Formats: sequence, C-alpha cells, structure tokens
Amino acid sequence: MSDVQDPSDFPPQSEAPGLRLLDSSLRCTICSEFFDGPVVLKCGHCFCSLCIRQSLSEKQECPACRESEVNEGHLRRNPVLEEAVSAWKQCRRVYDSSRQAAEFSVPSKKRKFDDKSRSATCADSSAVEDSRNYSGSHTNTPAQPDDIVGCPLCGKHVRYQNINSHIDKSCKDEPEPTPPSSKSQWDNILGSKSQVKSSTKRGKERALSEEMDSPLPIKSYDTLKDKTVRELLLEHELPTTGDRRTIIARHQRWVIIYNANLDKTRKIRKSLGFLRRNLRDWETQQKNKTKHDIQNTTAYQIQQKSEFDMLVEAARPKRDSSSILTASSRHGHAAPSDRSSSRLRTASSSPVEGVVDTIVVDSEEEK
Amino acid sequence: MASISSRRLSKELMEIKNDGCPVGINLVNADDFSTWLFTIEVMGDSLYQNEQFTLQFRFDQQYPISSPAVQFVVTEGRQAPVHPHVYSNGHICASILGNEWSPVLSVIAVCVTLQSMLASCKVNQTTYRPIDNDRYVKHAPENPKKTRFHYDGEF
Repeated sequence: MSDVQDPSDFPPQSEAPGLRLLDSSLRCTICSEFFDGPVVLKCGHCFCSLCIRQSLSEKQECPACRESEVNEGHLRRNPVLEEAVSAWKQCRRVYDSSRQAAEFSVPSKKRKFDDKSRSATCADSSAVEDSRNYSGSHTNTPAQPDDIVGCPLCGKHVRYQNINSHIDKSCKDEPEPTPPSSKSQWDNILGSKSQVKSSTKRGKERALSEEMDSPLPIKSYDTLKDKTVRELLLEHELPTTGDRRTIIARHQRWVIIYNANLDKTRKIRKSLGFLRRNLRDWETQQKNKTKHDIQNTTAYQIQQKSEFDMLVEAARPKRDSSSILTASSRHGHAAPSDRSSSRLRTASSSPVEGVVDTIVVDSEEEK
Repeated sequence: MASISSRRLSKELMEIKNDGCPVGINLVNADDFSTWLFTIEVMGDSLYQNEQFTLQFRFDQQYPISSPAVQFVVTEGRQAPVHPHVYSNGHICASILGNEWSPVLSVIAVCVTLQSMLASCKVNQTTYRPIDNDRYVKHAPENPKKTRFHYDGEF
C-alpha cells in the first residue's frame, strides 16, 4: 500500500506551513483522492464527478452539508479546480524528486527512493488511477492498458491493465467467474473494437462516440420493459445478457461513468472503449462480492449438507417463524446492496442465514 | 485489487497511524480492509466510567458510498454498553450508521459520534436497553446493516 499517496507525504504544518493543507484541500472528501473531474453542487461543495454521482444514486443530498433535494442536474463542472489539481500533481513529482536528491542517504520511512522502486511506484499508481477511470498527464511509463508486459514475479506475459490483479492473486490467474454467455458477449464487444472503428456506424452511434457531449438521461427503470432496457444497452454497444436486475444495474452504472467522464476536460476524457472495459471490470467485481446463483443445486446441496443440517437443527425450535422464512426466501435473489429488499426486513424479521431451502448463498464475504 | 474502498481505508489508516486516535479511542486491529476493531472509553464524568468497550467495523466494496457495519463486540467476555440505543447483542441504533450515513464520514468520525452518544447518556435518563431488546436480539440478523432501524430521539 506504499503507493497510496496522501497529505502526510509532506512535512507537518510546523515544518512546511500549508503543504499538507494544500494537498488535502485538492482531494475529494469521498474517495480521498485528488479531484477527478471535479463538480460543484448548488451548496458549493465539490466532489469527483464519479463519487458524487454514485452517492446521489443512493441518496439525493450533499454528503458534506446534507443539503437536500440535490440531484445530478445540479452538478456543475469546475475546470479551474481541475487545472489546479493537475498542476499540483506536477508539483508533487518535482517535490518527490528533489526530496529524493536531498535524502538519498536517509531512507524515507514511507517510501524507498532508489530509482528502481521509484519508477515502479509511479507505474503502479498510474495503473491504479487508470482502474478508477482517471489518468493525468502521462509523463512517465508509456505502457498502454493493452500492452503485454512480463510479470516481475513469475515472468508470465500479462496485459498491463491486469498486472496488478495478477500480482495480487500471487500470480495465480483464475478464469473470470462471469457466466460464459455474458463473458463472450463482453469479449465480442471489447475485442471487436478495432473492427467497429473501421466499419461504418449508424449515425447515432457515431454521434455518441465522436462528440460525447450531452449527458445521458437518468431513466426510471420501473416504467421500462426488459426489452426497452436491452435496447438502451444496445444503443451503447453493451452486452444485453443477464436478468432484469443485472441489465438495469449495468445501464445505471454506464450512465454514471459515461456522465462522469463528460465532466472532465476534453483532452483527458476516456474513450468509450475504455469506459466499457471499466464497466466490465466493475461488473466482475460485483459478481465476486455479491450473492450468486448456484447452477447445479443437487451438487451444492450434497457439498454443503453438513452446514444445512446444522442450520436446520438451529432453526427447529422456532418452527412458528417458518412462514416468515418462506416469505423472505423469495427475496433471496437480491444482492445485499439492494436497498429495496433490506427495506422489507424489519427489526423483528428473521435472519437470511436461517433460510435453508434457498439456492442463493453468500460468497466469500460473509464466511 | 486496489479498489476505491481499500484505497480510501488505507488513507484513513495512515492518518490514524500518523496523527493518532482521539482521546479514549484506540485502534486494536486493522490487518485487512474488511474488519477493524477499536476500543472505546468515555472520558470524564459519565455512566460508563472505567468501562471499556470494543467496537467492530466491517466494510464492503462499496465503502464509503455505503456505510460500514458497526457494532459492539459481545464475545470473549466483552459487553455492549447499557444504553437505550444499544441492543444486548451489540447492535447499535444510530441513524448515521443507517440512513444518515454520508460518504464524507470516516471510521474515526463514527467512533467519536458513538463516544459522545455514550457520554451524553445521563443518570436521570432511563438507562436501559431498548424496549424491544429481547424481541430484536432473538431474531436479529448477524449483520446489523440488514436491519432497518426506526430512528427516534436525538440520534
């Protein structure tokens, strides 16, 4: 985690007045990173576009002062702050290298400053920034996300954009847990990027990819049929696989990252292809962390028999609550983050863990 | 994977290690970015003098957009404070942990809020468990975030 930069990279207020304060005042209070496409709310508070859009999708208020009734329509870009951030990032690099020169004999407690580890740090943090949909002015490593690089640990050839997760998994890459249908559709979409570019597109799509100027409207999905949602996804060349919940979540997230991208200065905006990869990565992450359906229920029942028996045993004395159990199992397919399903449970309702006949389980998270 | 949640938590952790915790709050365990433990004491004149409680934070991938799951630890001889908003299983009925959560809040901010919630509990107030304690504890989900609390009163 040494690649995480924060205001404490600078000496305290007493030694270098203002440096830490300046660094922290250029950071978003939601993600603690430097403002990425900063936007202002009507109360004057400023956040990264992506952060505040995610927050507003949960709750329509300013996270800092709780001013209510704010929505995405109130967001205004703040290009001046964006410039200040990019200038400050350059300053940090200068500061780092001058400190490196000054302290070459005294190893810093936070970072090592020999050339090798320093360049690794830079590459690392720029890769991390890429993964959260940001890149400042690239002055160092020219590696592109699609470039094949050798893993420094096992030597295996890995795509540059995957190198961090590859190392995190101790060089054991596992196949992506996405169901084959969805995965292949993603592959088609992302892989055929070059073809799509060369082929002639329909007028609307061309307008979208080349101009990317007007934000996408936020849909009220309750009034839309599955077919309409799929059409919306198709308009943006996104996969249409998955159940209603999946495609709505996909479109919702797409609208957020698409609009957040528009809040950046034109020259640092990401391509639609980049945003699509970002969406796919997000979806993979969601799938790993939330509940998933068991394909082979019989095998799963046999495999988990001991645990089920234990749960049955534990549930037995409270037979009278069985009606609640069957009722809540119907909502078992909702992800834990799904507010609507948790709203159904009151303080007196039964724990989900008590449901023994459901085929939905928590993956790693709860175990 | 360096997700937004783990990056944000690592910054919070760095801040705690650099600047220390507020008085009465101590970091016990933060080995990963899923569960952190703190001890919390109420300073000065209060109902909880000389008592120390352990507070558990659990984070999901959506942190800080979604709130952490916060509760008092009630295993290994540890007790939850007797307070009208704290259930005997350690679950806490506090709006900032539920619908009043804001992503600009931090782990330390939550600790301080809970500390002051305990500190402001006065002798002349009824210092009991919440009225529905027994019923709630019997059916409570393991994770307090799965409960929909009804908030009333000052917290």
